[in-house]
Amino acid sequence: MAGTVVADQLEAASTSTLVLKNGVANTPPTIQDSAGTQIGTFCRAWVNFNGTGTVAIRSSFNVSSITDNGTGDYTVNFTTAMPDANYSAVGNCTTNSSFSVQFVSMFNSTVSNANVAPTTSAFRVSTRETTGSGRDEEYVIVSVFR
Amino acid sequence: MEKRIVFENENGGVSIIVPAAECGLTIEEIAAKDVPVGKPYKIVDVADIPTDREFRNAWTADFTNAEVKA
Repeated sequence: MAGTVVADQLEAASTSTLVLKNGVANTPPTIQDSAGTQIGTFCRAWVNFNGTGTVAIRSSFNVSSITDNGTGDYTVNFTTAMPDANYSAVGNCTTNSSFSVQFVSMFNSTVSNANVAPTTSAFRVSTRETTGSGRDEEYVIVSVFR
Repeated sequence: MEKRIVFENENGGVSIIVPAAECGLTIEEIAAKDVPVGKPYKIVDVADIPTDREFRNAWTADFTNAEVKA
């Protein structure tokens, strides 16, 4: 049933988790200002994983798996696909002091050393030294917005 | 036993799928969804994957009798 609730605060009952449920499939609720202008959106997927030793996911949301493709080269696979491939993926990683400063590069492969176009179901992410070489890192964190 | 999915990637190397425990899918469902079409793959124990990644890009695997993603 369509309708509007006007309130200053939404609060779940104790021991309950507050749920915002949209009426449109695969579309998150939007955040609007007083004029009804959309001013924000929700994170649609994220993952925190260890890229060293036994590569493993610590925690995640809307991620079915990551694919370890080689040194510092991963694919993030979504559980529920994005509506299109025009999403924003942001990430960061720790830096091993034995090497130069490291960074995360989106839609890019260290193995093929080329960009890889994102799809609705997955995207490539790499961790590199500033020299350009792929480098595994202990903490790799990636979030997706659309 | 924790599992991994191993398949041959487009560069001739080996890719390893690491499942997300929180996704609610089985390892077989993840294989059906995340292994690229046409690629042979095997589901293995995590203990079978080397932890020394110094020569990670040179890893190989035997895909004899492997499943092939349709």
